[in-house]
Amino acid sequence: MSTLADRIGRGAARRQTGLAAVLAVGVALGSLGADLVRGASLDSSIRLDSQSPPGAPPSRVFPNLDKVLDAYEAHPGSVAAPAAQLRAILEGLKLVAPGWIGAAGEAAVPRRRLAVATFVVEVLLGQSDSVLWRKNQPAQALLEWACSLLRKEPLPPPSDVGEHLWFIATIALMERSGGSSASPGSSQSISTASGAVPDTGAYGAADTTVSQMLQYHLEDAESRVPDEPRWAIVQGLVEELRSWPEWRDEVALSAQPIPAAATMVAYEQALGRPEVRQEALVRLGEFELRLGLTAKALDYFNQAGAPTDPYVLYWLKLFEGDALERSNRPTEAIAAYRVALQMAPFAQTATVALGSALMTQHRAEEGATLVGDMLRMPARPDPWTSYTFPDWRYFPDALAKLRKAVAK
Amino acid sequence: MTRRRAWCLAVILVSAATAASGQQAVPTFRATAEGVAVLVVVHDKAQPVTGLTEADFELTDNGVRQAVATASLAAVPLDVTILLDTSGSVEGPALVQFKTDVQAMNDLLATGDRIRLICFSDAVSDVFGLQPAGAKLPLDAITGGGVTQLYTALASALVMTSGIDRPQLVLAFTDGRDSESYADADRIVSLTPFSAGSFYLVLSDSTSSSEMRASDLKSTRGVIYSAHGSFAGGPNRSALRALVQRTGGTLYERPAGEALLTIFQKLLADFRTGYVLTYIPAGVSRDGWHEVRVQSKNPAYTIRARDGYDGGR
Repeated sequence: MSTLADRIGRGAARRQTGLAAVLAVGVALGSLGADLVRGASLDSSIRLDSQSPPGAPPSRVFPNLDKVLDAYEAHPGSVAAPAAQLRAILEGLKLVAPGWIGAAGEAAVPRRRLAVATFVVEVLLGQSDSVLWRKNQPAQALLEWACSLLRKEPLPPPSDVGEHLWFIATIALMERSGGSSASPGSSQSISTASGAVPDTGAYGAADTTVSQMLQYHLEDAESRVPDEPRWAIVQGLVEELRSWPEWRDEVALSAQPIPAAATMVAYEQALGRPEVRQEALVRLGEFELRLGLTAKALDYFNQAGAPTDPYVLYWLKLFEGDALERSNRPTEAIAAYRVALQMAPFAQTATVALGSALMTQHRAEEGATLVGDMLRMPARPDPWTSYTFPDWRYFPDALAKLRKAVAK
Repeated sequence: MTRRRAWCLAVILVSAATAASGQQAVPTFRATAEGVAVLVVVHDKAQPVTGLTEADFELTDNGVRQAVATASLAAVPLDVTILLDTSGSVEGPALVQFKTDVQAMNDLLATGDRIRLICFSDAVSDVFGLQPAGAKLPLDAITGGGVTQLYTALASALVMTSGIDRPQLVLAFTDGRDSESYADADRIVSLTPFSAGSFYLVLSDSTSSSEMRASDLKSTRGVIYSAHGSFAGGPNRSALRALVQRTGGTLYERPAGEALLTIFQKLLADFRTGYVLTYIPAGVSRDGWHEVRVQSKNPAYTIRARDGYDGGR
């Protein structure tokens, strides 16, 4: 069986609708975009550092962003921006972007509008701190502003894929920042790496979590790009993230007032879209597994069949192996884990799951050899780690195509 | 996999001759003998009790009393696995301190001991595999930052300490929180019967220890601080406690500012004061779960030992 890396191109080629229209290359496993993030901080073509003298408060408006946009349009690439500058960048863009967009003539307006919005994606790429993505926080505000900029255009025709790509990229960014939600009803002051964020008293109340911000952004995406099947999965994710623990098993799932019904309904609706049906089945099964309903989980996994998307196949076999172990079917569990590892060799989650299963079946030496080999080698891509931000796997290609689309 | 080998998986094996003789001697650890070794630490009001003999213990295996031989752990070469949570801000001086501490831990071990270092954050990796204690350690590969795969690391250590014919001491330095693993705490606890490791967990308060935690805020799932300054979610203490209790180890709450090296020294000394009780199981079926109970004839003493092992099938 071919590996995940081998199958990337072929899996993508099979998708004929939705993403296939805009992402001809499809998903890239690589390091799940980690190189992009690293690039944004280390090798960026543009660096937006503080312009304030040492000791002085940061400027409220980032200066000369029209020149920065010129440079970005000439050579679209990564942009490094510290979190503390996001507000100033937003204010700077508000000031110069309208003029800059119109300065190259009417014909260039749609491209330049997309360029500004894509520039915002570049700025936000390194901002994975979930706090920054909450309501009225800098990353969320910057994204919302860029989104409103695009919404000023008439609805794009299907042949114009730029906005479609932009929504895929920004949904992926929001998912990645929001793998968890605040504890309901808690009163929290929030700190970030860049310093304290004023406690407005709003945290813990409604409409503040990243999953809620994702919901709002999804509504914009649905209104602008109505036929993208991924949105059905994202809707399920919005609901599921509300029950996802901040820390692993921090609170027993069964003890939480989780919106189980909403999550199930959302994923069930996704079953109606053939393009995402298998992923929806896997997610339904995983959710049942989290609820402790192993038999139901296995039923969903059986229905999922043999997904061609390597990420979905890895998730399926990992979860199926877990469910089989819980059902006292260790031999089948071991077989399932092996299939997952054929997709992503030495992915740590499946490797440790397999090694543990072997140990419980009195094959400790085999398990220890497997895990020992894994420990000795550089960590390989593990699709499990992107389970709560599934659209991240499309991000690298979406951004690459956006850069091409906005280049002068 | 032979039945004979399966019998060896969950526990450390000792020379059948040593166990059968009933003499107090340093057991010969080897993988070919069919015996059971249970590591035991005895305290009297928090002070370790040394100098005990087999006459001081009562051990039952699935309720059947067994004839045991006793040896001091001080005389037995052991493998030490250090699990280091590097998911926080372990850069600059903190990273240098980590490296210094680990090298010093290595220097505290005895001739014949072996040491391994596994670090975990976004991923779990060997900084170096088991190697003889005392040498200069290759510590350059330690890096910091990222999210926390604590349970993946613990599961890895449980697997790596199974089926090995030496005492396995596992010391994990962590804040006890996991943000990324697929395995949960219950899964980790369920693996304990199959591993020979004695797990000692050192829990640091992540908001008070100097080497943690600002970069956690860059994690993919973010971090929320509560108003009183600690994480909104705490470690799963009940599960972690079950892990250490079932393996005969202990949970150590690290006071703010206490050096890792000091803690290591303390816990290693605690482990070394223990005993190996060895026996050939008699009157019980070999297969399946074996509940082991160890008691002291002196009721004032408290005993820490693993609660059993899986005997294969």
